[in-house]
Amino acid sequence: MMNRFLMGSALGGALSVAATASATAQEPPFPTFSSSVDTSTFYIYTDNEGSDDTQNAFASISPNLTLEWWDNAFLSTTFNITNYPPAGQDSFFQNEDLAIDDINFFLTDWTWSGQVGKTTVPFGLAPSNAPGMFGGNFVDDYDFGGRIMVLGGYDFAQVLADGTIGSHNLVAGSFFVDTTFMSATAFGEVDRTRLDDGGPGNTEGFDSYFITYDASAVPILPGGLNYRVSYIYNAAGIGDTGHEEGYSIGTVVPIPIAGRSALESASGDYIAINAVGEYAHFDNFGGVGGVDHDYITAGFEAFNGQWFGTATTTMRQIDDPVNGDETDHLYALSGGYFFNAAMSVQLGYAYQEITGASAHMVGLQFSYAFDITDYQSWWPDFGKPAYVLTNEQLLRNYRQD
Amino acid sequence: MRIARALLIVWFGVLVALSSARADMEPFVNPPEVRSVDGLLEVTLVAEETAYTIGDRQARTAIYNGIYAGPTLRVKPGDTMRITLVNHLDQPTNIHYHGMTVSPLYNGDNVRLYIYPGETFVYEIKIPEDHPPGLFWYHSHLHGISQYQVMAGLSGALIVEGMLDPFPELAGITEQNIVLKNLMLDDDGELANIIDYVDPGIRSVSGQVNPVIDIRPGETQFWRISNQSANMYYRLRLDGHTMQVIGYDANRTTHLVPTDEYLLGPSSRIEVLVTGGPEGTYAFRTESVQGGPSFDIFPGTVLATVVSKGPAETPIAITSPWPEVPEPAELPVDEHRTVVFSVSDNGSFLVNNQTFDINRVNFHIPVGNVEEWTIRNASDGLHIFHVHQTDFQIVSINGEPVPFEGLYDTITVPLRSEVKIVIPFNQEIMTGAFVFHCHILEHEDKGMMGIVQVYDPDNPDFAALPGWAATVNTAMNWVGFDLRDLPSDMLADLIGQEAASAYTIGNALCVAPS
Repeated sequence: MMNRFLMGSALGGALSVAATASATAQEPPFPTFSSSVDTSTFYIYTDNEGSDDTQNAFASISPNLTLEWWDNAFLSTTFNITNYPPAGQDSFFQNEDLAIDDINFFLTDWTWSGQVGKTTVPFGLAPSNAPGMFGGNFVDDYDFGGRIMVLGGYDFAQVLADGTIGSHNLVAGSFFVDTTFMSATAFGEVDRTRLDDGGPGNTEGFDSYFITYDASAVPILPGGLNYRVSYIYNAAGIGDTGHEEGYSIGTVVPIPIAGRSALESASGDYIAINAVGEYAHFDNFGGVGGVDHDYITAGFEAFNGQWFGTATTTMRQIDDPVNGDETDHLYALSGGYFFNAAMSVQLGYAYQEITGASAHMVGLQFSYAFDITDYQSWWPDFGKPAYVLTNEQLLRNYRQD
Repeated sequence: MRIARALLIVWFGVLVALSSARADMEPFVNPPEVRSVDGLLEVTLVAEETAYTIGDRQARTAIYNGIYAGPTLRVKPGDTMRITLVNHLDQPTNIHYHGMTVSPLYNGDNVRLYIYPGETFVYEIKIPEDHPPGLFWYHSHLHGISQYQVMAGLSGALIVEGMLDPFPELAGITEQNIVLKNLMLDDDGELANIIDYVDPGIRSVSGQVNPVIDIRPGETQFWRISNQSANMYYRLRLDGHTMQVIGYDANRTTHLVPTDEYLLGPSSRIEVLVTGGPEGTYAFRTESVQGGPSFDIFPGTVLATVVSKGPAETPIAITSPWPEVPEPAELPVDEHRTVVFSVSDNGSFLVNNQTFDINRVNFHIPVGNVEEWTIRNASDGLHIFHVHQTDFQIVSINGEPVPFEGLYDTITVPLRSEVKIVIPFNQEIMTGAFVFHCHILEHEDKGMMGIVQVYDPDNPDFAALPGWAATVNTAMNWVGFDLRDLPSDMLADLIGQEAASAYTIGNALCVAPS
């Protein structure tokens, strides 16, 4: 089992819910069904310079359902039951609601792939990989989730080297901001997004697009190098004064420092570090003509057995000819402990400066994940696979013939 | 004085408690054995849901012949195994003969076979005269559900006799057949549908929970230890003792290798000499095990309690010359290949960035090749590489040369690491298609497996057939009819194509799309 907390440990990532593990067996039985739940409970104290301090406690509960029809084709859905902390106010487990974060159909033969549904644009690595509780605070600006999207991918590493050089996937797609009923939460805490709301990509047509070169498990380094180069075009929505364009280049570098033997690995007697770095640039950010944003993120996460620690910094440069230029800073630290593969606790601290105002944040996160069903649980029928000896049944059929 | 008397009473109470605890513990018992007679091992294995007791739990899972540890099969090189598998389950099953260099074709060690519910199937496996002795095992290998069937208990030890033959001084020593399994049950005592990544369930030794293994001080015993768990690692220690390794994965070592702690991965075996320590009680334990920063973490436990008592014996020293073990890495390498184990964002387990496809042969290999494979672990979890039908030499781990101590059929690839191995595909008996995979069976079931096709270079067309067609169809020969007599629609249905025809290549009968 992969621990799901590492798939999106940043606060924003946790709220937007990382994908969870799902069964993708290549053999019968089909169809298969798996479901799991990720939960995280947060307490965050914010000391705001020049305004009231706030305390927020909230939970995120994310059921993930996956239905697989046949080889490499599956429908995945993630819901999110969460609280919505009101900006600048105290809250204690209030404003609970339910949202559909993700629902999409995915098909691949491991060279070509296609996806359709509501999902997140694969732009930038930092939104889902910036380490720590608060590591994603700034880069969540370019977490383009909740898009109705059609995309296709081609992994040319399969053709060039049978997959032995990792995955080198060229992905392109077109999308728009979800304005269907799925954009509203079930109990009204968040209203449905409307075309009139404007904003980049909110056009109710496939006017926006992206292209991403995604490389993972590239065997330049032990453990594999991961990097992503992306371009995105968000068509102007109603009221916008410019089309938003952006590009990013980012990497996640797994660095083994110590503990290279199998016994050391199994004993937890190792230190493994992931370094994360990304640069992203946007023209007409937020659909505002002339406003450019630049982001530079650097961070790392280190694992020593069941302990982990993270550090992340992001600089956000805003060029705004009307309101003036700003440089925002984020410095975030976290540390935590895995009790086991399902349960962890994390303590985080962040200092951030936004438009000249500073804030100190301290947070505590408790995470727990569990499976509800796995694919054996739903096992309606065994089809007889091709290329398999059929034994006595074949002989019996043959004799009847 | 009163205090002293109170302490005495307390001490006496402790002794009584300890002795009663000892009395409550079961003595270790080897699993029942079936031996070959006159060159033939004939046994029926009935796979059936059966109720049994393990520790203090009532369980009902799929096992062979009502024995959770599985009957031990004991054969000699040159024997034939005729094993009738009766499937009384509600799902298909099959058997793999792990570690054996025997034919993957026909009704041999053929993991492509699906033995359907209600069917009976006769495996017939000829063991070569020069087959290495040691501890092998047999288990279900039905892709997609192998972890559930193996965890249920569908496995057992398979011993090819002769490991100690070069050392007459060890003749007659006590042999302990230690079968390690873990079992996850639901509240009803049935196999849990959900694999638990936190609680390891019941960790048993030959079907017993923390049994007592008796040994005399100074006595030398021969322990054959097999990890027959679906997914579980063990960090084995015997408190107060150093185990002397005589075999890895049923391959004799180059010398006695002392070990205080040994990482025994799923499917791996180790054969050791144990010399009883001073009179006392010792724990045979596994320490806690982590699969990596993003994988499972399981606590340690005592697997068995070793009690050293009775008249002391003089430890046996091996004085016979140690048999030479040929070193494959000294042979010229014909081919280099790379296998990358990785995990996708959506939880698929990949070999060279693909999940298993029954119709894809990853490597075509002419029989006789000696190959160097690089196994890379591009994930943050442990993986254990296993290839069927042959053994290999570990050459290096992360570029560090590994001294040659013997061959293996499994190797754990550490986190973010690479291992180089040399594999001799040099025996004709391995001709055919077979698999390599991660032997954490959850990973295998979820796609971390590939296919090699070893072919006769004199019949190169054999290798060009799509998928497993070649071996699948030669595998049919045992049924007793000529494949070419089958109607074409049945042939097409057999290989999942619109149309197909049968023909011969060399001495093999084949079906291919037409």
